[in-house]
Amino acid sequence: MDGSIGVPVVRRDGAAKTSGTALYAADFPHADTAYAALTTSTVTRGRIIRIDTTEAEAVPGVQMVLTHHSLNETLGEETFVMKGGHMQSSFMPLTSDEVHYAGQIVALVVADTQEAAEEASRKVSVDYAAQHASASIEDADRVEEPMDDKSIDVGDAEAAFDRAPVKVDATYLTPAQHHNPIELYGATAVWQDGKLLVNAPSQWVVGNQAGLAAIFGLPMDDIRVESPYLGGGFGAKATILPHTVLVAMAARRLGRPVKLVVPRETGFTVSSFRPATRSRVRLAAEQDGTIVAVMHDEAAQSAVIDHVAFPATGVTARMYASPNIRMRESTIATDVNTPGFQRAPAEAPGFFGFESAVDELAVALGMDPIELRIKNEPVCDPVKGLPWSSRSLVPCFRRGAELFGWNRRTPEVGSMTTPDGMLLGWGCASATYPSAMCPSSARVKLSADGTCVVSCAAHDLGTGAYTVLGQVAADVLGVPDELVRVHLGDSTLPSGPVAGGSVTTGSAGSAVHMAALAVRERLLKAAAGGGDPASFTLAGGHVIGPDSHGRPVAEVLASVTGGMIEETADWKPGSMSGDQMRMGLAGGMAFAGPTTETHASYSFGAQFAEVRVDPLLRTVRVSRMVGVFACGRIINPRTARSNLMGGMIWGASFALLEETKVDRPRARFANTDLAGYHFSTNADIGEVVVETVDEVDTVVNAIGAKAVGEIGIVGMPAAIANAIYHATGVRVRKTPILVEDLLG
Amino acid sequence: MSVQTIPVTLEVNGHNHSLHLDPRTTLLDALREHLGMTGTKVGCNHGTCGACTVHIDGHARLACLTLAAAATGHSILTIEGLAAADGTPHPMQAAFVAYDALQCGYCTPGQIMSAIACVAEGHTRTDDEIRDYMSGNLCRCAAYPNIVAAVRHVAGAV
Repeated sequence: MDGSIGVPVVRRDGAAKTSGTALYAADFPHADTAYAALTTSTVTRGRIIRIDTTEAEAVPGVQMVLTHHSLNETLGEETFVMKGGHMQSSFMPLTSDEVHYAGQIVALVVADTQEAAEEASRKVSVDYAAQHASASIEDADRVEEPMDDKSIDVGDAEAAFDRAPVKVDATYLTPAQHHNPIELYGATAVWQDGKLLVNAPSQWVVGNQAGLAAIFGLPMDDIRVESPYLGGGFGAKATILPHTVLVAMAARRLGRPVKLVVPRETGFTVSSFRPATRSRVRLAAEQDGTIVAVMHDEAAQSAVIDHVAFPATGVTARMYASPNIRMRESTIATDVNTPGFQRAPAEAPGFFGFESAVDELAVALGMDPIELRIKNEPVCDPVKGLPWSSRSLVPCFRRGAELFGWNRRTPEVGSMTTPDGMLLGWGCASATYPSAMCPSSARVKLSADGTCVVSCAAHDLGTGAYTVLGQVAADVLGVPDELVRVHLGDSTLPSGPVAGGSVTTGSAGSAVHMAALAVRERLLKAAAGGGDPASFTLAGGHVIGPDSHGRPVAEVLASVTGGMIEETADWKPGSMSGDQMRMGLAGGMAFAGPTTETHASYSFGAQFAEVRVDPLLRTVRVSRMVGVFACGRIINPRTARSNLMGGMIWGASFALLEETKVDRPRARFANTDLAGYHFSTNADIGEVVVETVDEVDTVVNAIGAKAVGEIGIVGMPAAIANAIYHATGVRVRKTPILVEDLLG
Repeated sequence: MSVQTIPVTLEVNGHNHSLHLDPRTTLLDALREHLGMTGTKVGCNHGTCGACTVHIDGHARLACLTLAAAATGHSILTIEGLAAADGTPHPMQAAFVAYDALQCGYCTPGQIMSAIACVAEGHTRTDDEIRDYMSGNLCRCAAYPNIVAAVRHVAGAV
């Protein structure tokens, strides 16, 4: 079967995943494995003044209890990912008596069985000297710290806003959220001959390898991080989580493999989360809908132990052609585990407020919200004046409106109802996501038996990379899909990028493309013998010579030494320096774009929601969602659709369900399990329609692929909030939007 | 001191296994950690996500809320036991692939076990009925519409 670019090839890993044979981190069998369990802090801030492990150590089967007393080992230099390291946080539990957040690891117990480890972890007795703490950005003692380097000023937005006849000035709130991949966090560590193997679910095996090498003072080659499948990541499994280090230390001391599976509740505090945000958005327009001022002030939750920010305003600034733009960012430090990347970290919270405000402006103008957006479509990047590498937002809106039936919408609030008496609301919003890229290596091997093997230490989080990266090679080499094999998620493979920032297809895909081209060149050269390879072509599994005579590829390969051709390529984004590339390939964070010296590269999308609101009970159902996206060249329409659809459902979940509640007096997360933390179930989701528009982007990278993985979520929360306004006339400026927000 | 164990015999996918287990061992941990059958997944360990769904005597059950000792004398079916003897996938496994009803694949074994029960119990008269029945199995990647399509397809073929 044709497995080239653009074909909806069936997910290559589907059979393994549906038969239970796909090995996730906790599935790898290691003989004589001991089991670990965690004890976590019951206070939020303070010091451990006494820790007694006697009772825990007396539990039958217990082998070891690690605390800040017994760990007592100096670790190599490593740090927080946003300070140039690979760790989820600057703070490493068990290295001191300090407690910085509730649910922090204070002991790790290892036993012969899971049951004994869990029992013992509950018998570690800890006394704390607790101090006042705050885990909410709404607490009175919290201070906003401006990030001046993130400010954007174009023209004079304040003055333009003051003069304008129509304006919106509103503040929007989004809460802390947790990724909650269904696969629990965890790690298994195995030491053999001084070398470390880690099976941990990872979106960044090479980064984890580099970080663990630094921590344990070993060469990178002595560390292997293996994670061929992971059960959802969404940003949570990119960095090294502290427990991975502790498990590796325990395994080394014990001389046995040690496995930890972190309980769901504990997962809320031993990893990262999406920080809460507060956005003040001010928009102003002339009576005809021409936007004259865009202002967005965002304050986001950070941690006392780590300064973290995912500024949205650098992205919202790209949406509309305003001559006056003013963007400000600040952070608010709280006593929490370090926040981190969660699917569209900046864009998902930022666009809820921003695109709600655009809808409010449309209402104030008495204008159709799609027409308002199209009227203010920028011909170039409104901040730097750079041309877009491609931007098809308007075609997305036109097609989306058609699919959704937008022309049947009556704009008056509450004017549409269903036959069973529900209030019907139709809303829309724009979405975008930056198309940044990372350097990547890849290896492609073409053998005489017809197989093509693609190897790269990139990752398939369910996003389709196993399928898509194989298609890129198949496209160049004309190999049928059934003969393509793809190996990912193992640090022994050629270096691949972090599965973050929606970079995998563009980055690893470009590396695969480069390696495949090199293989083809050698193949044609071999076929040409002493002749001119340029006069040979590859088609239908044959090398065609200048005399139009075709020789089977297998026959050509049989004449090559070893019966195969293998090439490894190191690819970097055009704007990146060689030094940056080498740093990235060695496991560093190296991103280029979305804005280079010549272009701005973003994916765009138009998103639509239909809600049904019960007029009495005020319950909200999302009955229909439509999303049309422009993401450059779509390598596999089937996996891209699923990825975008999943993002849209995340958006619905964001709008109506997701919130990590903060117990403010006790300064901690309160609903730390899946009974209390809600995200969409099957019954919450109605019809979802996803399309992509054809778009040719010759600038962004060799294969013309822009970001797909995260854009699906971006516009959905605002589209739903706007639909709820259309149904009810209630403008809810916070998520999740609950029944009580729609009463009265 | 070593862990105190009790003898437990489990019939899994038609085969009997004699084990010595800590009496607190769940069926989920017995399958995964003692029998090496890791197709059944752990997602919450307290009955909220459905990733550990297996069939016990033909009914969908949560392996994390079932003690292994309590499963003695019952017939347990897991994802590893669905394919035909010649390796042909169960129609529901094939439908999940055909409808792209999975992404990361971690919840998938549990989804498939519930989906088979959904069809067997006849909760497939409407898409809403399928959605309701399948809502005990969370999919964070949110393949829900494709899962409904896969179940609908198999139900229609029955």
